[in-house]
Amino acid sequence: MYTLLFLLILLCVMAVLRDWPARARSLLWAGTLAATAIAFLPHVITHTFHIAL
Amino acid sequence: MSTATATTARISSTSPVRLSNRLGLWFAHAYVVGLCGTLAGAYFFQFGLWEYPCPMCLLQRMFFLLSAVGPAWIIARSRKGEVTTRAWASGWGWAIMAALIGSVVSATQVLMHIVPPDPGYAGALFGLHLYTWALIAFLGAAVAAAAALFLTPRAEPLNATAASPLLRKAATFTLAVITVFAASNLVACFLLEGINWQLSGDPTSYQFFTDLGL
Repeated sequence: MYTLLFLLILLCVMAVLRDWPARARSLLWAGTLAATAIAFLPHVITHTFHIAL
Repeated sequence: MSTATATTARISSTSPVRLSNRLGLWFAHAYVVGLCGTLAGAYFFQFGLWEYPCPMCLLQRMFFLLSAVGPAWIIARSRKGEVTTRAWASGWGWAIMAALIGSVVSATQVLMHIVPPDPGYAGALFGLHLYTWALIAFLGAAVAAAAALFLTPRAEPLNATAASPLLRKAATFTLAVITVFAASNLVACFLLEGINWQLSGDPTSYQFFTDLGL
């Protein structure tokens, strides 16, 4: 999963270098950021922080 | 085109490039190279000290790269002509967003290890673990990017690259740096994860080589 996310990030960099159209580039960037944020969520949900709030 | 946008475009296309405009673009270079520098530090721990990054560490690397993509786009645009105020603001806005989300990831990892007697994950640098340094770096990056936005009237680069051979060379260098770090992180992650969907929470080997029986 993490390999795929890094692949998406490399694609984001390639979109910068190849000057992709704004719409495609924005969609790719936003999708990658959202996917990376979603990959982070299980770490929070499954972890008990042992802190009494 | 609205009146305000038309006015901005007219001012940008007729304004001479000043030192502050060139410094603004140099700042974007420093931002990208600086964030890649933090990744180079992580590489030192991974390949120099033979410590394996955990999934949370990899996520933080992703957000460093994503945050650098915005200013890298500004730099790439500057090679093709004038950087509009819209492009400048969009690039830095993206950098702030990615840096802030990255700081949440770092802060979460700090909280995971903050309760004694947890020794923390992996090695430390000057007494602080790498995820704590990452939190500082993310917050610093967000403040720096916000400052670039605040200083837009003076710092937007306009046609700075066209007037400076040094900035043209720097653009090639900086874009090469972020490409190398994005590609090398992809390879390093693939070797760590192998052909598996999940990565161990505390990896002790490069799974790709382990799966091959090496």
